[in-house]
Amino acid sequence: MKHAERYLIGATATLAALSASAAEVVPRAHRPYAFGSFAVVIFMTLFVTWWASHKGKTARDFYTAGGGISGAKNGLAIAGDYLSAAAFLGVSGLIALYGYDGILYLIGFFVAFVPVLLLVAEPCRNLGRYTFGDVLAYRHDFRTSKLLAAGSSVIVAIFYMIPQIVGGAVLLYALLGVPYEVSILVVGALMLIYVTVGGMRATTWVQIIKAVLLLTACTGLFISALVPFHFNVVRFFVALLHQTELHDYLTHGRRVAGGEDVQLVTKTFFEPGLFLKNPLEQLSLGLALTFGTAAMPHIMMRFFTVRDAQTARKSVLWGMLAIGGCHLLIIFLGFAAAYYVGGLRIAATDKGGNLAAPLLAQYLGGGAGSMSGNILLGLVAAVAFATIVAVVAGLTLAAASAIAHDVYVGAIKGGRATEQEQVVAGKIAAALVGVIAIGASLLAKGQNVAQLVGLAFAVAASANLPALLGTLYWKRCNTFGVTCSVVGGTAIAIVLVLVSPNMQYPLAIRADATLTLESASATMKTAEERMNDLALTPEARQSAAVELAKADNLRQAAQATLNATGQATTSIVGLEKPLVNLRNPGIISIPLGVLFLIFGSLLYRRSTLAEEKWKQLVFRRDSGIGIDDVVNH
Amino acid sequence: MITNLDLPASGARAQPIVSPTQAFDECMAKKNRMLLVLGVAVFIYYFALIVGAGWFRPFYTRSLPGGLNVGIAFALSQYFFVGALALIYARRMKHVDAQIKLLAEARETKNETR
Repeated sequence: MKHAERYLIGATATLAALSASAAEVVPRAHRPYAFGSFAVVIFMTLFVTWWASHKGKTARDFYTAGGGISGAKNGLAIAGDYLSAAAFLGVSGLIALYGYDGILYLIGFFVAFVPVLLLVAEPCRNLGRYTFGDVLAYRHDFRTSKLLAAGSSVIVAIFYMIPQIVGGAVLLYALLGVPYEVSILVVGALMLIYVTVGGMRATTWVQIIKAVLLLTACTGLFISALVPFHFNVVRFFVALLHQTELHDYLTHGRRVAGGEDVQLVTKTFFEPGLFLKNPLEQLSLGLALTFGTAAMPHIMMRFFTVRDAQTARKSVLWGMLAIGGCHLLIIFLGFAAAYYVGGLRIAATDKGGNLAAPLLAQYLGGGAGSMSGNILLGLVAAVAFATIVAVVAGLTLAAASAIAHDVYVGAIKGGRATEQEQVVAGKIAAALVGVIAIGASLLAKGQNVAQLVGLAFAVAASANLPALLGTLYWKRCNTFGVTCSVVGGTAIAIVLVLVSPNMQYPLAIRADATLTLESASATMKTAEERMNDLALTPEARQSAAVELAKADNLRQAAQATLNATGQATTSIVGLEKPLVNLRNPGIISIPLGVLFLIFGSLLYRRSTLAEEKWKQLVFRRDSGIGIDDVVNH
Repeated sequence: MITNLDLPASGARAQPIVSPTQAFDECMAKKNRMLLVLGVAVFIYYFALIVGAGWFRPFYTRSLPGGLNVGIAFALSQYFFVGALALIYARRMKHVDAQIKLLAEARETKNETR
């Protein structure tokens, strides 16, 4: 599973690898329509931000939108916060190219909401005020808890944000030809406007709008794709199963052996194994997703925006309904893209398949040469872009809250700060986080930053979740155990990624590039001979010329790679090859994070503070009685 | 724990009724058991899919009626299984909510009588 992580959650970042040809997806003459679609969506979100900025000026308004969001709205906002471009663009593309294996990826993102529903949402609402740090500080040392929670929240948020910003920028470039640097600044500026001007209220509404747009777009495409089949899903799948184009695509790249019986080949598209080669990797990723989601700071923060635990529960249920519905639509759209657009064209546009959904929209709207097709493509791309900025805005607010509320107000000012100081601190922190994320995204040009998404989930699952669950459900848990879990879990996840195949290993890169160089040179030689062969038809000579140009591009790219690696022989941590053959460290780092918590708590002297507060915490966690003290303190 | 609040208003020494606190504690114990059962069920169901897709592929390729195969049916069933468990949880939690309300009211009454 050479590029599993990249395909999976790194749809945003794999876009970074799009070829220049992707910029031709929307013909130049039709770009104004696509631009117009983008402009409408962005204008809507900016209008909501302006409206939200007049709604409240208190710290509670800024961090939690006043705490009065209804369950249904918060559920949609959770869906907006959580459904990233990876699901919409990445997984639909993965299904379009590899069929069944794409579905396996998506399911983990949905199942991940079970721990959120059962273990996290209601207790967090009953114990916290604005952040994850509030929950830890309920029974552990105040300053230590705040600093630990802030540190890990910021790390997770930044790791998750960079690939999102890069993905948004590359989407703008790929579809509209906007230069990378300009696109990064546009994404960064939008997220800063949403957060600093409108705070949580604007961010919530941007996420609701995005969720509604995404569901509407997916439903619209679903209906359009089924029109020729009279809305009969079974007939659609039977047609796909017998499609000769699918057979040709599957046998073309030798994904499966060719055969006379079309159905025998196309059946493999609905079976596991076309993409997943290492089951252990999938298991590791499944663990990171199912345990990491419950401890992602931007998801946890959503539970502080509602009145009580019952509303938090309703939020998760509404969120699961929206996310599950969207997932089922995305699964269908992946297969629809395979049927209508075809794997060969999708892979030719972007080998990761990330433009499958926009290409499907273009096809269903009338094709690349039609105005309606490009308007529809623009709308779908604008929804994908809104998806990205909504996720990024949620992450920015989560990181800003951690810095302002936990570090500045909590650890530095000891919890004593005026309303205005808290709001100003929040806005400054948001600007700081934004600048860091924009700077890092600009530096990431041309880099594969996809592994950061997997790393964010792994850190959340290995560091934050053991600390959170220990605090909530284990009497013996103490500050030292939580410290060991957060610091140890974060460190082990990062170290494992640094020694994993995610890193760049110059020797392997040079070996690959040399092979490509040799193969391209051989192809060029053959193509040149064919071009000079006067016995061939003009069409055959022209085909040879195209082949020559392609091979030359490959040769140049391989040469550039060889030049770029220079004399280096080791990765940035001095390794010639990976020490651990897993791209996602979850299967190792999560059990270690739990062990750090257990041994840290058991080896340290019993904390009377934590144990005295235990009964109080259990009562508050389960009943929510006294919640007003938390909200109003 | 039985308090004065648990006795009938007439003041007669009748059979003591279960206190809101005791009822709440029992309810929470049941809730925790439910959390464990639901959590384990989802964990097993989801990871069975992953393990099966990795190590039991031939089983996943078996055809089912309606053009489906075991793998597709099992994968799509995850959404319905998780959805059903979430609904069971929400339904059971209504009883817990009622207990919390009773407890809150009892505490309020206690505070007022003081």
